[in-house]
Amino acid sequence: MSLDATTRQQINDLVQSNDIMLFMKGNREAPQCGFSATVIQILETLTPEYETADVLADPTLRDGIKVYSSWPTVPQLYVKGEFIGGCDIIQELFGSGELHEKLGIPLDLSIRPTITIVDEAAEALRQATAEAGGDGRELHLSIDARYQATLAMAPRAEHDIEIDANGIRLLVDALSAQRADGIRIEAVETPRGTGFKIENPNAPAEA
Amino acid sequence: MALQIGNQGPPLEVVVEQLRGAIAAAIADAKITIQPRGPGHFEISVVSKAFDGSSRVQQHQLVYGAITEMMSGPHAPVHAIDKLECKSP
Repeated sequence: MSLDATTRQQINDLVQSNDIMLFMKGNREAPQCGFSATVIQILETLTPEYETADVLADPTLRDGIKVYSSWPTVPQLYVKGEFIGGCDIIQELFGSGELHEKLGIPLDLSIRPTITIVDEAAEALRQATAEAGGDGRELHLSIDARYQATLAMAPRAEHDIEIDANGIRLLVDALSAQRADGIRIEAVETPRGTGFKIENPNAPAEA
Repeated sequence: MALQIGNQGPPLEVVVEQLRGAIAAAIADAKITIQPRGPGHFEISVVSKAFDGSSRVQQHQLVYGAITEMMSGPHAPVHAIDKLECKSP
């Protein structure tokens, strides 16, 4: 599929005249897909100064941006005219601090959320990490744009923030850290063994 | 009488060969492995000298650029590349 000159020019103008240009589904107030919402969350923590274009409002743009970028999915982020990538890559670059670098924004690693782990949960986490560990992976707490919290074993990233809670070392990326203050982790017995219940006071009330 | 539900599109093997052809046309020395993973979903692995010195995004762009046409429009035979692996030989 070729890209007509008008559409190419339209995209080119957007990319060249905005330092941070996001092609997305919906807009910053109302993203229309989870991937676009995640990228908006990330940008919002970094700067209010970015521009968006809604591909759902313009079918020509929706197909055109794929050809223009040689990239099959939306969202797509451009910084200072350079194609950065889609949601996965943006999350990765954000976690590693490279996105801050590209945008010229200092990385705030001073944030230290207060996390409570009750005794039973701490003991269960100690056992679980002892069983799963030993291969360089460490316990991570991440909180997504919908404030869903996840505990997982993963390799340490360069800019992870280290939190000690009830003797358990948790690694939290900078974005999750901003959503984690006041979190409480409890143990719950399930038919499949001990599970964890994570209460996050920052989560918006259910609609 | 059999009831046909929706348009199933071309058979997966045909789409695999179309993908292979499009990538081979764009990247001359490419060694291409394609696994269908269900209707419209594929995993692709490409080995080529063309990837030397490129970032992961640039490598992916080289492959995606070759197959964008098959992923565009309401009747695209390819919905998603579930996994794309690019390597230098």
